This record gives sequence, C-alpha cells and structure tokens, in this order.
Amino acid sequence: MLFLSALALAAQLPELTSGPAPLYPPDALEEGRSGAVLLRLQIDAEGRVQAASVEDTEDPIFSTPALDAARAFRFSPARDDAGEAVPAEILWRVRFEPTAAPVVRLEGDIRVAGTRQPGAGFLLALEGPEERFATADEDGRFRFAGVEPGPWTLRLVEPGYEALTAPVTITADKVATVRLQPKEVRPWEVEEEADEVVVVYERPPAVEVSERALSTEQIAYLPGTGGDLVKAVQNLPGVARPAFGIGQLLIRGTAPEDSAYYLDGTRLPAVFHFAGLSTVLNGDILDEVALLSGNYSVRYGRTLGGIVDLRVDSALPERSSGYISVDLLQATAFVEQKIGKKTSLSVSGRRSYIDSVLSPVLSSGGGATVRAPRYYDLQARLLHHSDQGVIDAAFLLSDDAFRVIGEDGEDAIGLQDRFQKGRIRWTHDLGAGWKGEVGMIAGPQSRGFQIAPNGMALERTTAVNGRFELTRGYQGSWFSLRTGLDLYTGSFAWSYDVDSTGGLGRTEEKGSVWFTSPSPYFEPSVRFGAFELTGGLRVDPWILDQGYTALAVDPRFVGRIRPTPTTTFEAAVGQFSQFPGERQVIESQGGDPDLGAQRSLQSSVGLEQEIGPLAVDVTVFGSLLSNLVVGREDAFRFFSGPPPVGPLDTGAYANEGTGRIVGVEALVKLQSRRTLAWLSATYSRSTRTKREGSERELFEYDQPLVLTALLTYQLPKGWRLGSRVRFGSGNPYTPVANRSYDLTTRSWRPIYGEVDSARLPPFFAWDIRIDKEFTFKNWRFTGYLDVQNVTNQQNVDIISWSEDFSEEEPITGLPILPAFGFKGAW
Amino acid sequence: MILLLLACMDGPNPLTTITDVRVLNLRVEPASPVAGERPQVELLVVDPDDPSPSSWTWWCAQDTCDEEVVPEGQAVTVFGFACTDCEGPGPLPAWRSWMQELPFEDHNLAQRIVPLSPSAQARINTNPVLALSSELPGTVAPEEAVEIGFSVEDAEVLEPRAYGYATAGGFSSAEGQPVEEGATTLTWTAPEEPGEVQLYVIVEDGLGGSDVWSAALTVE
Repeated sequence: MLFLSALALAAQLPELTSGPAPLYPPDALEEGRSGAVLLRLQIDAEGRVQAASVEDTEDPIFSTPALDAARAFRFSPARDDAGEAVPAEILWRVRFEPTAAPVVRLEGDIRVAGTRQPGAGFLLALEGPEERFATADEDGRFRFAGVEPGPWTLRLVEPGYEALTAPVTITADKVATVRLQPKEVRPWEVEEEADEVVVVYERPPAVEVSERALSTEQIAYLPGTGGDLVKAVQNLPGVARPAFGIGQLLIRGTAPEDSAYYLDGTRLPAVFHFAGLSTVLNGDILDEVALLSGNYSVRYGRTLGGIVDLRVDSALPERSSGYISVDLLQATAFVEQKIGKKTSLSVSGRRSYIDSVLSPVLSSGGGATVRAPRYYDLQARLLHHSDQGVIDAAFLLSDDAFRVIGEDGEDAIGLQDRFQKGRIRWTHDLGAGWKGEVGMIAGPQSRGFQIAPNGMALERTTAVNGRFELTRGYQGSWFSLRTGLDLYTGSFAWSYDVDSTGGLGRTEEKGSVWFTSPSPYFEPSVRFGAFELTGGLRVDPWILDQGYTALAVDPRFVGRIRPTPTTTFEAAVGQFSQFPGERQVIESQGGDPDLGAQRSLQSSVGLEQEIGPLAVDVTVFGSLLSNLVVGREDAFRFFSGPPPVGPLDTGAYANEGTGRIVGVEALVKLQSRRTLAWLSATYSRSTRTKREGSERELFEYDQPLVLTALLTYQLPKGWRLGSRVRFGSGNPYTPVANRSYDLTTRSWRPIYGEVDSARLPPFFAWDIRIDKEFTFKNWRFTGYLDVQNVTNQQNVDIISWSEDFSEEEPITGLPILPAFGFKGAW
Repeated sequence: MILLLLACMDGPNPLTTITDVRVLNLRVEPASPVAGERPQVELLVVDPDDPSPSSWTWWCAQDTCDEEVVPEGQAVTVFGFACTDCEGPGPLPAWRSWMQELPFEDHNLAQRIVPLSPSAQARINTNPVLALSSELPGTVAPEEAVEIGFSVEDAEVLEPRAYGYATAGGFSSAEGQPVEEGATTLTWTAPEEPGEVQLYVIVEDGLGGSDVWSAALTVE
C-alpha cells in the first residue's frame, strides 16, 4: 500500500493506523496476476473512512476487494494549522502481490429467499476485534481473508432485504462457510415514520401524446383483471366498456375494429382469447402495455382508433426462474432459463379448462350441449445480447375454439380462431445517438364460423409485418429524429356460405387477394428550452393484386411546453387513415374499386401536472371523421361485437359516412408504499352520418360517461386488498316499434323505430380482490380470491326480443363471479 | 359473440293458437304476376273476437307502393293489414312510419315476397293445391289429438311446407312440416275447454305460392 497525497489543505495529513489486508481475488491468485488500485477516500475528523471510490485501476478484478478493505481503514485525522482535526480527502493506492495474499478464513454465498437469486453486490460486515467488509460477487459469493481467529459476527446490511446476523468462529486451520438467505423486504413492510407517498407516474422521454403505460408490477394485483396486462388497459380513461366484457377495446368513441394491437411495433392479429378471458400472450414476457388513445406517432398507422402496444422486456433475466399458476379458468406454466451470460430461453404455455367448468352450467337450460370456450397459447422466446445488438426471436401460437352441440349430437355452432406467428427483432446502438431496429412478425391466422345445418364461413390471412426504423435521441442537442418503414404484406382468402346479416337472403362468396402496404414515415423533433415540437409524415399505399390502389398521406404535429419539471402542456393535431376492407373494393364481390381511405382528423390538448403526491392528466380531444365506408350492411362479416340491428343500409358501398367525436378524459393517480389508486373519467360523444344528407345519429358504441375508481392496499405479512368500482353509460340501441309477419318464412320481422333512439341502462360493477403471499427458502406461493360484481348487479349488455318482437328480453352480463387461484414461483 | 349466440338459441315460440287478430295468409293469383298486372289477392284474416275485422292489402317495391297494381322490380312485396276499430295505412309510401306509431296490439301486418314473371305467358310459379285426404270428426273430446291428413300438388319442383293454426288448442309442429309425397299429416290437440274451434292448414311452396284449407270442429 502506498500513501500518495492529500488533497485537503491540511497542515498534517491523515496516517493509517489500522486496516485489514484486502482479499486477494481467487482467480487472480490462481493466475498469479498482480496490480494496483488507486482509491479516493473521504476521511472524517475522527479518521474514519466515510466514502471510497476507485480513481484508477490496473486490473478491475482488484477494485472491489480494495474498496472493501478501505472501508475498514482507520486513520489519524488530518489537522489544520491550529492543530484542529479536520475532514480530508486523499488518494490511496492499494497494491496486490500474490506473494503477500492473506489467507481466506471465511467464505459463503447469499441467495434471496423464495427466488434463490444470487445476492450480487450485497455488502457484508464482519464485526469482531475490528470491522471488515466484503461485497458479494455476481454469483452471490463472498470471502473474508486475513481475519484473526476468534469469535466474530457476520452482518448483512443490504437495503431492501431483512437484516441478518450470524455468529461465526474463525479458526486458524479451517475455512468457515456460511449461507445467507435474506427475505426481500417490500417497501410497504419497511417501518417508516409515515406512509411516505411516492409518485410513480413515469414520464418517459419522447412520450406519445395521450400515451398511458402500465407496468406489470402496477397491474398484477388489480381486481377484476386477474393480473392480465391488456385487460387492465380497460380501466384507463378514453376506453369504454365492451358488451359482456369481451375484452375488445373501444377507444375514444371508435369501434373495436378501428383499433390495433402491436407487439413492440409489429402488428398482432388478436390480443384476447374468446370472451376476453385472457390475453394471448403471457404477461411475464412483457415489460409494459402502452395505450395510445389518439394523436400518436407516425410510427403507427392504418387505423382510425387507438393503439395498444405490448412492449417486451428485452433485459436478460438475472437468473433462471419459473412458475406454475392455476386458477378457475386456466393453468399456466412459465420457465425462463439463462444460457451463459448473454442468452436466455423462455417457454410459456397456457390451457383453459373453462369448458369443463362452464359447459354443464351453460347446457342445463336447453337441449343443446354447450362447449364453452377452450383456448390455449404457447410462446417460446430466445433473447440474445451481444456487441452487435439485441436479438429477440419468438414463436407465438394461439388457438381458440367454441362449440355448441345440438340434440342430434352434431355441431350446431362452432367458432375457431387461431394464429401461429414467428417474430424476430434486432435492436442495435449504432453510436452517436443513433439506434437501429429491424422487426418482423409473420405467419398465418385463421378464423372459422359454422352454424348448422349449412352455414360456414372461413377467413385466412397470411401476413408479414416488418418494421425498419432508425432513431436518434436529442443527445444534448436541439434535434432528434425517428424515421422508418412499416411494411404490411400478405394474402387474405375467404369463403362464406351463410345467411346474410339481418335475414336478407344468403351470402355465397369465395375469393382471395394479395395486399401490400410499404409505408415510410419521417418524424423530426426540435427542442428549445421548455418548448418541443414534433412533426411527422406518414405515407400509406394500399395495393391489391386485383387492380386496386389507394394512397393516404398523414401529417401529424405535436407541441409540448414544460414550464416546470412537474408541468407539461401538450397540443396535437394530425390525420389518421384506415383503408376499406378487401372485399369492399373488389368489384367481382360487389365492392367498389373507387373507394378511398377513411380519414380521421384528430386533435387534442392536454395537461399533465404533478401536485405533491398526485399525478393529474387531463386531455380534451376531438375527431372529425370523413370518407367512412357505408353500405352493404347485409354483407356477411365476422363481428367483434353484437351484429347490427335496426334498418340496414343495403345500398352500394360509398365513402359517404362522416363522424364527430368530442370528449374530455382525466386520470388522477397516486402510489405510495402501501397504496396504488387511480380515478379515471371520460365524458364523450360520438356520432355518425351514414349517407350524404342523412341525419346525424349516435354511434353504436357511444358511452358518454365512463368512470373507474381503483384501489389496492398492501397489508403486512404478504396480504393485499384491492377494490374496483366501475360506472358507465349504456350503449345506444335501436328499439323495435312494431312487427310484421313474414308469411313465406312464417316468422316475425321487426319494424324498427328511430336509429339508436334508446339507450341501455347504466352499467355498475364493484369488484374486490384479496391476495396472500408466502415466501419460503426456495420458492414463493401466492393465493388470491377475486370476486367480480360483488353486488350481483344485473347489467344489461344487449337487448334481445321475444320471437314475436312484442317484448324486450335484455341479456345481462356476468353475475357475481368469485374466482380463486394459486401460483408457485421459484 | 359467444354469449350472443347462446342467447339466440333460446327456444322458439311459434304461435299456432290464434288469440288476436291475425293475417294468416295472402294468396296471390297468379302466384307470380307480371309488373303492371292487377292480381287477385285473397287475404285470410282471423280474429276470435271480431267476425269482420277491417283489412287492407297493397304492393310495394322499395318505396314505390300501390293498392292494386304490381310495381316494377325483380321481386315485390305484398302486404296485408288487419285490425279492429282502426284506420288504414293512409299514403302507402309512409306505411313504415305509420306502423311505428301503432301499438302492438289489436292489429296485424303481414307480408309476402312475390317473384315477378317476365310475361303472362311465362309464369315462373303457380300456387300449390291442397286437398284433405282424411275425414275429420265433427266433434272431439277435450285434449284429444286429431290427425289431419292431406296431399299437395305443385307444378313446380319445390319443397313446400305445411303450417297449422287454430283458434283454440295447438299444433304439434309449430315451425312447419315438410310436405311429403302422397299424404302428409299434421297433429292438432284439442283444448281443455269445450267450444267451437276453427282449424287452418296452410301450405307454402317457398316461392310465394300458397294454399289454405280450413274446417270447424266442436270440442265437447
């Protein structure tokens, strides 16, 4: 060891009075490596080391042992001209020579209880005749060398973990070994003088306007969602409640089919299993789910509604892990294995057995046998980090089926929805602030519908969605940029032989079409002090092999002002386009090849404000829709919600529809050590006109008021309570004013009243959830009880009618539904 | 969607017992008229409480309607309306909004889609002819099952169905029964209460053609 110099202006410099020899790293000792570490030490007026840092090192392997040793050094204090002891800062060189290596007397490792995760970087103190320190390596191993024989006390003092104390006896002829298994201490279990409130309303850089991101930790225990990531999005402002809780998202007054789902920027065909019971991806491979209600980046397009982007966690796991989860509806298994230091492989599978549970119940009312939804999904993922970037490859599979078997034993109704997708994504830091991304998801998806005796509809899409993107952050400058190409190409084939919608004859169609949409986008941003302006341009061509071509050019602008670190004003305006369906533009299928893109001119003004513990987000939004495709409502299509009722527009397709959506949405949110709470509110109005000159009507999914209040509270000893209350306006519907008897079919036909002139009763539901977690040495066990609709409210989801249309027969949603589940993780 | 399908599977509720004013049939002769013709429309109206209810018929193609003349179109709809103590539809193009204002009870609107023939010499459909093939008793006991056998002649190769209605009691088949070659049988079950009952059997050929058989029975 070599004392070099003192930086403090002191008349007398500190001198070392005692201090242990540093541990000689075993690998360095074995290889005969030597070296030196230059430390910067802050020494108080009593000669104790208050802080130590590495100023320079000849070999990084020696840095940690040098720091551990230095923390136990004792100096004579520095003194000024008057002889008073004063603090000082000095440089101190610690030299490592193999021949002088002290003997290891105590060693051991640290494994966190329940997860068996290595306690990498955990600090240990060995107290006895003197005080010694050691830092556990990345495998959780630690060693003390040169310790005098005798009784000592080993103390673990890592923040966030319970303090452990272990007496150890050091002898001259043996190496003592110790294994420590500290329990993780949750923030709410730390005894503080007050329940300190910590706002966790993150505002990531370059945030989208109206983007609201939910992390997995935030929503794992929300009541009514079963910990499902995407279902939790339904609690956010701007999202209305779909009928039956089918999981579809109604975003800012638009239809489910107007919104799109992405997996890290590449489009997913579906995100929910049947009836919205579960997301098709295991949430454990996700980092967060972002809801982009409107005025989003030119990175996304071909949609009039909102975007839900599932963002995958691209960090390598710290350890191999897994779990098995069982609840009333499904069983899930997840295994994640580290392969070396730069690669991980995870496999997740899920299978529902709701058919076994619900089928007897559903079948008890009539002669038919109902096979309730059966689904399974599988994800296999390989993640590799290297100097050339991060490669994320995955295979995704989802399969849903639903059957109703008639009294004759044959299938009366059958539905099937499935996809198999391969996905690869490469991201790389290109230097100078540039980042590159290449992502691609490809594979077939299909859905089928069969209804006895002779109805059959099949659709199959085989598509490739690719993204090639370059981004440059501000990097301290005033300019940033995002540019790329969003490619969507593939084939769509269909075959229908079914009754037309509304009982207006029969649809017999068969065909296929190739489509291509290579969409470049360019989005620069400039920032001057508190002002930031982003302008974007996206060009979407839509090309079909049957001679159809359309083009959409969407400019979008966003301005932000951040007058204080806790306040952000945002204003945005932009155009969004969505192309007609393939069948709507193919002449041989009754389509109109002159149809163009449907448009939405979206604007919004927002304020984000942090007020002490609260984060408040208020946005006023409006959309003017034009060129909406109308007509041929009798043509068959798969419905994402209830099929249309009322007088159908059976005229030819035309770009004659318009729409107007206005609203305000607010989110107030806070999170403390024990509490997560938010209140979301949306007030909006969505209207449409079908044809030129026709009267403005309420949109079928218009829900003026939607309120959600949510609270989870963590109790000691692993208990957690949650509650959710929801209120929403009912959807409008078209009442039946009278009826007519069709003599040919000998059945009643409705005579509808004014379109959407009635509204369903308001929706109300109260859900509660209780969780209890147990932590054992090598694994953790969690059990929960989730009760939906505690008050057993008979919420009307849609209106049906008696066979002669003389009486309304409301169809209600879920009754009180208690569900329980268990999860064992290691 | 799934629950909607389940909801749609609720058991049917066909009305084979006439308890209120009903238009049971519209028989057009010729069955497949030509645009511009004035075909004969036989309206079968049954009202257990009113022996002579008011009734109207009219033709429509889209929004073009006429009381007697068949309008132009590939297929037209003939409407029959009957009611007790009420006004007629007034200006025909506005019949739908007029119906929206009416209450559900004490009236009945029925419709039949009729295909048009290209010319009087090339009729694309004729009415089937229904003939009783079994002898019915004039008196039956309460809740007694009575089989009504009949045969149907149809010039076109179609798949006619037979429907039964009664002013009391009920038919076993409410959704129509396929007419078989030779004799076809419908079963009517008498009511518990004694009284006069009117029975109706109607044959639909599926292309707008129809025929009606009717008889009265006494339940003692």
